[in-house]
Amino acid sequence: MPAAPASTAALECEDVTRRFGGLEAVRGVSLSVSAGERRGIIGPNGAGKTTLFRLISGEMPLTSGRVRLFGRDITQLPCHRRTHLGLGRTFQITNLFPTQTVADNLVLAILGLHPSKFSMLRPLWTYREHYARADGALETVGLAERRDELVRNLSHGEQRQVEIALALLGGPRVLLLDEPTAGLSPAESARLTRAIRQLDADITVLLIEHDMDVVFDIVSRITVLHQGRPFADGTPAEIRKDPRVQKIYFGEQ
Amino acid sequence: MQFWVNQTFNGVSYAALLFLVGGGLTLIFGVMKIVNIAHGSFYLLGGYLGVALFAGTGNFYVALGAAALAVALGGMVMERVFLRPVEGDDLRQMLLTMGIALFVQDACLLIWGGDPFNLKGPEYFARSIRLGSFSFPILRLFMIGSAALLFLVLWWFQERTRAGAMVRAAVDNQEMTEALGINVPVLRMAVFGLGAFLSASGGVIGTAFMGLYPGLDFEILPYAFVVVIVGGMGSLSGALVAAVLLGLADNFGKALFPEVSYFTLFAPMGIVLALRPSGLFGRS
Amino acid sequence: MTGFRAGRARMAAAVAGIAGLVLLAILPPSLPAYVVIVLTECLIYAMAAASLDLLIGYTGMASLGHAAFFAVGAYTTALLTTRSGASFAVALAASILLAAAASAAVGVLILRASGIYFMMITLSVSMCAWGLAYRWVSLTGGDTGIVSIPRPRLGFVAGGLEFYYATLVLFSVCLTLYLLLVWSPFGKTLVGIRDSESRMRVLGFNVWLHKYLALVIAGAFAGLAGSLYAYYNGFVGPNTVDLAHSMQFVLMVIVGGPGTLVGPVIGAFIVTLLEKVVSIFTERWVMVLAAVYVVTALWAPRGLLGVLGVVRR
Repeated sequence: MPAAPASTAALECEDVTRRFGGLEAVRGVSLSVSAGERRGIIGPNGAGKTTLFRLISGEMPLTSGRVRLFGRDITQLPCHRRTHLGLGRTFQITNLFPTQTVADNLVLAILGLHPSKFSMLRPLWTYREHYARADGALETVGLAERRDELVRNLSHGEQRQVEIALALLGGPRVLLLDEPTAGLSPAESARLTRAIRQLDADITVLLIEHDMDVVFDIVSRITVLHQGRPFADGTPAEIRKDPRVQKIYFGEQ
Repeated sequence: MQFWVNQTFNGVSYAALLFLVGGGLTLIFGVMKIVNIAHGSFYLLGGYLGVALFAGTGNFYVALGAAALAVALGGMVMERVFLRPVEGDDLRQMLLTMGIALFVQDACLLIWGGDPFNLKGPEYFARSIRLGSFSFPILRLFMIGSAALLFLVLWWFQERTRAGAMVRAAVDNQEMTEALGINVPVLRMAVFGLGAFLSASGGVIGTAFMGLYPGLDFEILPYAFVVVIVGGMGSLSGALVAAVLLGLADNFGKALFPEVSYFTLFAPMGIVLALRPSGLFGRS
Repeated sequence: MTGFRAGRARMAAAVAGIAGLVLLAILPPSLPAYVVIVLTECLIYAMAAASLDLLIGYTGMASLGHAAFFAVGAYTTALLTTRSGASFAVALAASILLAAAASAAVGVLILRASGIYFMMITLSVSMCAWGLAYRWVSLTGGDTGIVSIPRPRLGFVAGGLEFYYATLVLFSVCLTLYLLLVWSPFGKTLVGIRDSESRMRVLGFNVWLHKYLALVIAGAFAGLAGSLYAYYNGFVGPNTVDLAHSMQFVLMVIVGGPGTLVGPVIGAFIVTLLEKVVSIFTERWVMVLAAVYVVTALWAPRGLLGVLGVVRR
C-alpha cells in the first residue's frame, strides 16, 4: 500500500449521519483530526458524542456519510476489522470482563489481534509471551499488584485504568476515549489525566469528556456537538470564551 | 379445477387454526419475550375442557367460550405465580414453561387417559354448503369465520383502543412503556391470558375438526413457532399472513409431495431467516 | 469466590472427577448388568450435555436445537450399520462429519438471530429435524425408525462389557478435548463473547466466526454422542429429537451447572438416573421431571454446582 502523504488526516468524518426512525442522533458531522493530535469532543447530554464514537468504531452502522482512517474508507468495514487497522476505543460505562482476572482481561485484549486466538488445543496459560506483555502493561498503569484480582472486585478508578490498558494493548494509532474520568475522584481523575497526557505522541486521541479541566488540560483542539450537529470548533481558549457554547451548557442547567 | 379450489379452501381453513395458535404465541413472544413451550398445552387443555363441557352442557358455543376462558385464567395464574419471579431471564422462563407443559401433559393423561377424543359440535357442522359443483363443509366455514372474527376484534383492539396501544408500545419498547407509568406487570399477565385464550379456542375448534389425542400439544407447537417466525414476532397481521401462507403450503405440500411435506412447512421459515430475519411484518 | 478458596474448590472438583473416572473404570465388572447399561447411557448423554455446555455455558448461546445434531449422528450410524454393514470406525467418523456439516449449514441461518429469537429458532431447528425424521419415511423409516442396530465389532473382549468400555474411553477422550478447548485461547474468547460481545468486537475479534466455530464443534461432538446412542439403544426413531428430548439436553446442562463442563456431566447422570429410579416407584415420572424443571428454574438456575458454590459467578 502506498505511503499516505503527510497531509492525510488520521481520522476523517464526512457528513456522518445516523437516524433511528424519525430521530436523528447524529447529523452531518464532519471533522478531520491530524495524526498525533489531541481532539476534545464536548457537548451537553444527548449531543450525540457517544453515538459518534460508535459510528466511528463500527459498532453501529451509519445512515449516510463516510469515515476514513488514514485516508482509507472504513465505512463498510465491520467493527473488528477497524481495530486491526489501528482504531481503539474505551467505553463510557466500564465494559470489562467482570468474572475474569485483570491479567486475563488484558490477555484477551492481546489475543484480539493475534492469530493464537484460534488455538484450541493448547492452554492459554502456556502462552507466556502474552502474559509478559500483559504484565508490562500493568506496570505502566501501576496496577501490577492487582494482577490476579477479579475485575469486578476492583475499585471504579482501577477499572477505568484497565479500560485504557485494554485499548492500548491493541497498539492503536487512533484512540477514542469515552469519558475516561467518569465517576472518578479528583485525585484519580488527575492521575488518569496525567497518564493520558503521557500517551505516545504518535497516537491520535479523541476525547469525550464532561470534566472541562481534564479537556482543557489534554487537548489542543475542541469540537462541540449540540443535538447531533457540529456546533463549534476551535482551540480551548476560543471555545472557553465562546458565548454560544456557554449558552448551550448553561441553558441545560 | 376442483382440486385447486378444494385444496385452497382446506388450506385456508387449516390456516384459521394456525392463526389461533400462532397468533397467541406471537403476542406472548412479542410483548413478554418468552419462548412459551406451554403454548401447546393451552391448546390441549382447551380441547379436553371443551369436550368435557360439551358433554355436560350439550352447547358447543358455551363449551368453547367457557373452556377458552378457563384456560385463559389458568394462563394468567401461571404467569403471576411462575413466570413473574424470573422475569428477564429468557432461559429460566423457558425452562419453567417446559416444566408446566410436561405437567399439563401428564395431568391430562391421568385425567382423560390415552384414547383420542372427538367433539361433534352442533349437527350442522357435519353438513356442507353447495355452490355449483363445490361443497364447503360448514365446520370449516366456522373455523375460517371465527378466526377472521377474532382477528378483526384483536386488530381493532390493538389499533383503535388505548389498551391496544399499550400492548403495541410494550412490544416496541418495554422500558419506555414502563417509564410512561403503564402497569406493565398487569399488561403482561393480561397478554399471557389472551394468548392462552386464543390457543385454547384453537384447541376446542381443532378438536371438532381433527380430534384430540395426547401428544398433540407438542405436535402443534412447531406450527405455532413457524407462524411467529415467518410472520414476525409480536405482529398479529404477520401471524395472519403467515398462517395463510403456511396453511396453503402445508396442504398443497401434503397433497403433492407427501414425503417432504414437512419441508414445505419449514422452507418458508428458512427463507425468511435467510432474507429477513425479523419476519415478514416484524421489526428488527 | 476468589484466589485461594476458589483454587481449593477447583482442586477438589478435579480430584473428585478423576476419582469418578477411576471408579467408572474399575467397578463395572462387579456390578449387575443392568447398572452397567444405565451407566453407558449416562456417559453418552454426558458427552452430549458437555458439548451443549460449550454453547450455553461458555459462549452464552442458548441453543435449544442441539438434539438435531445428536439425531444426525444417531441416524447416520443407524443407516450405515443396518444398510451397509459399516464398521465402528467408519460409522463414528461419518456421524461426526455429517453432524458437523449439518451444524455448519444450519449455523449460517441461525446466527442471523440473537437473544430470545435465537432460542426460538434453534428450537425450531430440532422440530424441523423431528419432522424430517417423521415424514421422510424412505430414509428414516418414519415413526418406525431404524431397528436392530447391532453392537459394533470392537476387536477386543472384556467379558461382555466391551461396549461400555469403548464408551468410557470415548467419553474420557471427549472430556479431555473439551477441557483443552475451554482452557485454550479460543475457549477464552468464547467466554469473552458471553460476557461482552461489544467489547470483544472492539478488541478485534470476529465474533460471528467464533460463534460459528463453536456451533460446528459442539455439533460434531453431539454427532459422536448420537452415534454411540444408536449402538447403545439398538433403535433410532423420531423420538430421539422430539421436543422433550431436545429440552432434556438443556435441562442436563442447567441442572448440573452451566459453564463448568463437569456440571453438565453430573447433570446428565442426575437426569438419566432420576428417570430410571423414579420409574420404578411411579408411573408419573413425567410429573417428577416437570417438577425438576420448575424447581431448577425457580431456585437453582446455576445448577447443582451453583448451589454448592463451586461456580465462579
